[in-house]
Amino acid sequence: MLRYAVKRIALAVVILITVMLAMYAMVFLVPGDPASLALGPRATPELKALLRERMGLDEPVLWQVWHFFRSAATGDLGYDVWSKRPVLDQILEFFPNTLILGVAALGWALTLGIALGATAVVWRDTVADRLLGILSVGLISVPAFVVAIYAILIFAVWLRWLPAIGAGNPGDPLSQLRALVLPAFALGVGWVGYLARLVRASLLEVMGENHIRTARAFGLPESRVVLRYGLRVAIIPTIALMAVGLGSILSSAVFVETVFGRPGIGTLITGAVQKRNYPVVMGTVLFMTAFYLFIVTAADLLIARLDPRVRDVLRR
Amino acid sequence: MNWNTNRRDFLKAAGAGLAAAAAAPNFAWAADGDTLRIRMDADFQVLDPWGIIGGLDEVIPRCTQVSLVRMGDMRDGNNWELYAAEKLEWLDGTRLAFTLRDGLMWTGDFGPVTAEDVKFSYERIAGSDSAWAYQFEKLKEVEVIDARSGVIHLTEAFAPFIVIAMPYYGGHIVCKAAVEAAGGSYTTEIPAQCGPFLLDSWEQAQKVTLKANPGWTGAAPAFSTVEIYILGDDQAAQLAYEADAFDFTRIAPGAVRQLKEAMPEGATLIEAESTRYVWLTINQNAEPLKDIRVRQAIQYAYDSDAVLQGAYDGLVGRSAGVVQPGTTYARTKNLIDTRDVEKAKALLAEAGAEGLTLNLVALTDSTSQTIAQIIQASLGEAGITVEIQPTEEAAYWALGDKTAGDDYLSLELVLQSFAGGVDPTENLVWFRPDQIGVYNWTFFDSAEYEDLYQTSLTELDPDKRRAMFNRMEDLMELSGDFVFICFEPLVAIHDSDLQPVILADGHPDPVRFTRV
Repeated sequence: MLRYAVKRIALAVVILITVMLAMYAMVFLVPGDPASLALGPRATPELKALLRERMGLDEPVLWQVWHFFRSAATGDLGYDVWSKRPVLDQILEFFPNTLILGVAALGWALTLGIALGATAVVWRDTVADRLLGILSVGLISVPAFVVAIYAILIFAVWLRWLPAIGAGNPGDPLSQLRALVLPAFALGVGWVGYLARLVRASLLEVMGENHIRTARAFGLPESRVVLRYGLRVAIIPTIALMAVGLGSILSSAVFVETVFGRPGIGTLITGAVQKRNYPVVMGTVLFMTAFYLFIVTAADLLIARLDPRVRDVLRR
Repeated sequence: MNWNTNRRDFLKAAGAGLAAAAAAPNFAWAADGDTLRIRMDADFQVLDPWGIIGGLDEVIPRCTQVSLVRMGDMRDGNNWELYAAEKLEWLDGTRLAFTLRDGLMWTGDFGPVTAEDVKFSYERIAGSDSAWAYQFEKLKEVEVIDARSGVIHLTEAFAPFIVIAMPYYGGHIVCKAAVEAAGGSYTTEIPAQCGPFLLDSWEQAQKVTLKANPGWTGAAPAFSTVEIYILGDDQAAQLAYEADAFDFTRIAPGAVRQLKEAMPEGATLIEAESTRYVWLTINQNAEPLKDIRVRQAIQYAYDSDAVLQGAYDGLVGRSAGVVQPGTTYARTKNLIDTRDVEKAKALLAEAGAEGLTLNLVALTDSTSQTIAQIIQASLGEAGITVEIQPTEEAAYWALGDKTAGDDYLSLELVLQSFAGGVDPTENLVWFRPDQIGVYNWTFFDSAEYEDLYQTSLTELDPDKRRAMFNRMEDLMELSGDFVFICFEPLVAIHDSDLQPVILADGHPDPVRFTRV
């Protein structure tokens, strides 16, 4: 198990370095002068040169890469070329918003998805099962931004129950909670259907196993067999999926953050890419990649610990 | 106490709660009548007038700083008025005397706003590598007479100095002592403020809040609080407006038709011509376009009506140059004012350029792409095949830049637009010969144009200036290097009981918003 953990962590570090090298390659391969874009048509050549210097783009590429990794290792992700604020400060300011949004979206999707999946198995091969199947596929198919726009129309424009934009007032948890409802709903709705399908399939597989037959032989009610003995095992694949899901949700949060005017990592990185604010782009990508790898690695290790089948393979 | 509940009680309670929530339409948004809520499309980056970049960078100093003069609403003709100056007088062509209003005070115990602050504010930008240095191109120095008076000396007579240099952007006055104490410049924290509002809080990428300055001695603004919400997407902003999230927002021109059919209750629509001018660059240096008859064929084949209807819903008319239509100095019409496809074909035949294929570069936004496609179709009718090259913004701006490679030599057609200024010289400056390979991507190179430009800077007679500007635009068109398209529409929606003030750059001046 320890050997496996070391291997997984080493792999994560290699992936992280590869991603950052790829990012540097992209920065230099993508056409366009960041200084011209950022400063607009009235910029003087001197001002453009100053900005390039401030972004560190006047240095040799290899030196830039080395400097970036060396600084990042000490927690220094550089400075925003415009506001001159530390990049790490900005990330730490924005990241909680995105993380809360992602966790809330995944949280409600997970709760409802598991419930729908389990219900479909309890009533398998009935009309209810088929209707839940249609509902699940329907939810998967609807793009998040469409849900977001209709959610605003209904709950903010028409009913005026919830705010259309923003992340709520600082220091006011109720306002922050209300500002979270619509974006989390829009972001999580697709995952409800996906999780429902996954749980149903996984549960059906588990329901054919020996310990389930034993439970039935004892005359336990079917709902209890499903929920207590089947679901406990069937839910394990969703742990791995959750890790991937959180990464996917964090990256797709950019659309929802844009529509709801919600500050977050998505809006930070989009604005930085558009303005070619390279220190912010590189710092944010590094942070998010590291976070994603941490989650995926942790999930792999957790599965290795929880799933006896994986444990057996690792022992061999 | 025992707490008992059952399914029926729970349903009753939940139903009552939902009904109460539904009956309270302002549950989510309690719009405070004393608060002005406006929306901008991007957050600010630099508040120091020396380094202002985007829209909100400028809107905040309008509230927190002062300038000697300020511009009026763009819809009323961009007239200037005294602001921090109580007196402004030309002593002769190169000397402009000013006296500051009494009672303007800096925050942070920096004392009153002085002529020394004006001198510092202007001279730190003039000749520097600030993007706004061009505003002070003709500034020689600011002479301080006493605490509130001074004389601005120009290197030569420069008629539009007041409207170009003084009202905004580089013209905002900063506190010399505070800025020097901050190290000579600042970004997001203003070291000293003196305007009608003070920057109260900033929730990055979400909201900026400004509160009325208790030390302000000028006319009190109509609102005690200004909240500026950051929301990038125009369509989301329109929805948010309908959800009562703001009182004023710019929206996409494409939304006008739908809004006119179903205007939100209590809302008013603003449709105006912005100062952003759009044109088609035809690069005379590109091999297939070296013959002027080919360039003229493009001018004749261009279908203006289709572009204005297709891309702008007919909200604006065709422009006759880069001087804003409807102003004193605008040219009344283009020399080639009517589409003539047969003439275009004949010119191409004369030039031996039948079967011509050209590359058209346009930005990736939907309006640019729509215009490009209509140009493609209209030139196609004359036998010119146009291949559209959608180009992302960063790559786009490098295309005509001679320091970024040799692409600028062979560009063929480019759809361009620039944000314009109030004085025509601010728009015409980019087509001077020294701008080739910088912002003049057509290779238009006219000595007469340059002479007229220089003369227009010092000429004070409006009629003579108009004749000069009209001739300059004639020269541009006669070169075959330009097709003038339009000045982009500015579309905004606001509460009907609100009277907004929008300046020439298309951005609001929250200080002068009032309730009707």
